[in-house]
Amino acid sequence: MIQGDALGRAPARPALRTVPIRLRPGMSGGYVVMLLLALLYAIPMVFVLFVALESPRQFATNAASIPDPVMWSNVPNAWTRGEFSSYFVNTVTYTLVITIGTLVIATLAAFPIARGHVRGSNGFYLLFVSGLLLPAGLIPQFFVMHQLGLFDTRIGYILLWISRMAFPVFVLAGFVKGIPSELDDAAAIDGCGYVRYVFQVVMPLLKPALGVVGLIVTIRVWNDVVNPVIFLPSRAIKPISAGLFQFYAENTAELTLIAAAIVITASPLILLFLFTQRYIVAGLTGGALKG
Amino acid sequence: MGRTAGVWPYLCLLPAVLIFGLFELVPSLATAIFSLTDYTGLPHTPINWVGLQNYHDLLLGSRSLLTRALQVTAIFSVSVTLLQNGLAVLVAWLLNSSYYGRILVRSFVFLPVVLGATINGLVWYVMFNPLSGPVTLMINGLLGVRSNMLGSPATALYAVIWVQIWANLGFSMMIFLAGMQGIPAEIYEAGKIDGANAWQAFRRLTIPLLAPSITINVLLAVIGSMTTFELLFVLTDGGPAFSTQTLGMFVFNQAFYGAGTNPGFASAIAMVQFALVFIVVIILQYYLRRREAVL
Repeated sequence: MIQGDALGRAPARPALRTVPIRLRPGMSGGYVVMLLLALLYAIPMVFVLFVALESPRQFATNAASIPDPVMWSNVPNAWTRGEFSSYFVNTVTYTLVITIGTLVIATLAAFPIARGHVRGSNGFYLLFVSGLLLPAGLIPQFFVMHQLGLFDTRIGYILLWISRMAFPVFVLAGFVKGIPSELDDAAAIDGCGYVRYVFQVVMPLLKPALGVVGLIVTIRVWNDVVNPVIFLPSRAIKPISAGLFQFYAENTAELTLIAAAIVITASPLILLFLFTQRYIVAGLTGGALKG
Repeated sequence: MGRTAGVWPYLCLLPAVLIFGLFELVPSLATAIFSLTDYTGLPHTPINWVGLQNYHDLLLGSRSLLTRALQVTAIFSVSVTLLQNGLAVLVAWLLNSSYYGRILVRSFVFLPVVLGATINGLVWYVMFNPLSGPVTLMINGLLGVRSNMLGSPATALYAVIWVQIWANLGFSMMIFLAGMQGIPAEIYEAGKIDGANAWQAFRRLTIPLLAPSITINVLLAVIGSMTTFELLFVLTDGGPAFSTQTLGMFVFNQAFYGAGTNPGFASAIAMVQFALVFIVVIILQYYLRRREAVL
């Protein structure tokens, strides 16, 4: 279509020939819409970045402009006042333990289920996958956590997150089916133990799937605010998003510091997104498509 | 391997079954049981059966909060589902083209899905702030009124609907994009030969062939908007004056947050919410699948 337009007009307007792309009539309109869309998403981010580096005075009078003077100190101020070093350590710990725990426990379950090594493996599969549809039982969870003495403890929060097995088991069981079962037999003949086989042969072969599931779990834990509000009232063991919310709740009027705290919390996620975007998109939307 | 492994496959399965059962599956089902008790959430306090008392109080007692929550949920869910999917399909169509920079714009639109409720909510808290937020200044410039979008009961619901759509548009868009990329190019070539322009191709070819993606996206948006409360919690916590208290927010506030919490009663609200979502999903699923079959 672009060619047709260009050919029709080319002899009359030779100057156009130097322009590499020729727009058909509707196309420039498309670029305008695309630009507006990009601005709709970029402006809030850029505005928060600006506010994060503004003085309170500039924020009150002229917030929507380049910071002048640039208040770099907002970031360390928010960091120390909000005790973000503690939140960071907590979140990194939670994320690592929960992600590794989820992947190991889910793989150990997904392998026998997908291979039919246990009686009623279809039933177990449905049991786990039903978790994709069931609503979260926050109130009974609250009861269970109190009864087991896990309320307001690190280990309780970790177990609560690892229990979200539906998505990991669902994805990993699907990928296990892609591993040829001849490999199992060969390993059995060589005298390889069952658990060792899962760890040393199956898990390395599942690396791409484990990577995607791990990314999704990492993002969900990093962004969790509601569960810490319910299950982790103690400030010292809160993870970062709940910490950001706490900081906002205690400093609602100091928007330059809140913006700085947003930048602190969002930066690692944005970096992660930059490098792993394809896998994140595949993991987040793929689960929905297959479900 | 399976036949010779004896008890090992079962031992491998055990941790997952225990943790999933105890912390996820049983609690999910047990909400029904807790809705029949006077559970206070305080440890070492006896829990008593109260039968249908919570349901009686919720449905026949002072109903103003439930009625309000149902109204808010209806407006929130219908607006979010329709607008989010309508915009997402158009955006996906635009970004499924050969435009330069389309990959970059896709990333921009998807970014909030990764950033999560706290960051998205607070970004818009800053955007909406009454002192110097760009939205406030824009409304001030256009209408000449000093607005406090999130602070006023008249506008807060529209503000949270906007943020919810802004935050989740990228997710719906990606599902539509995946669906569009599964449509064979020959169909469009055939359309072109028949003289279809871009809009006709979109309306008569893309939309009908996208029916499975539409089903998934609509169902996910309906379930999501009827149950979600994370973003609402960060932005308004259901206020001001309950103007943004959806059913999900109502359950959370009654169970855990604020004064006079009553988890037993909140369980009853959660059951009503579950029943509503279930009915809506069954009806929609029937309608959407039939629509897929016709096309």
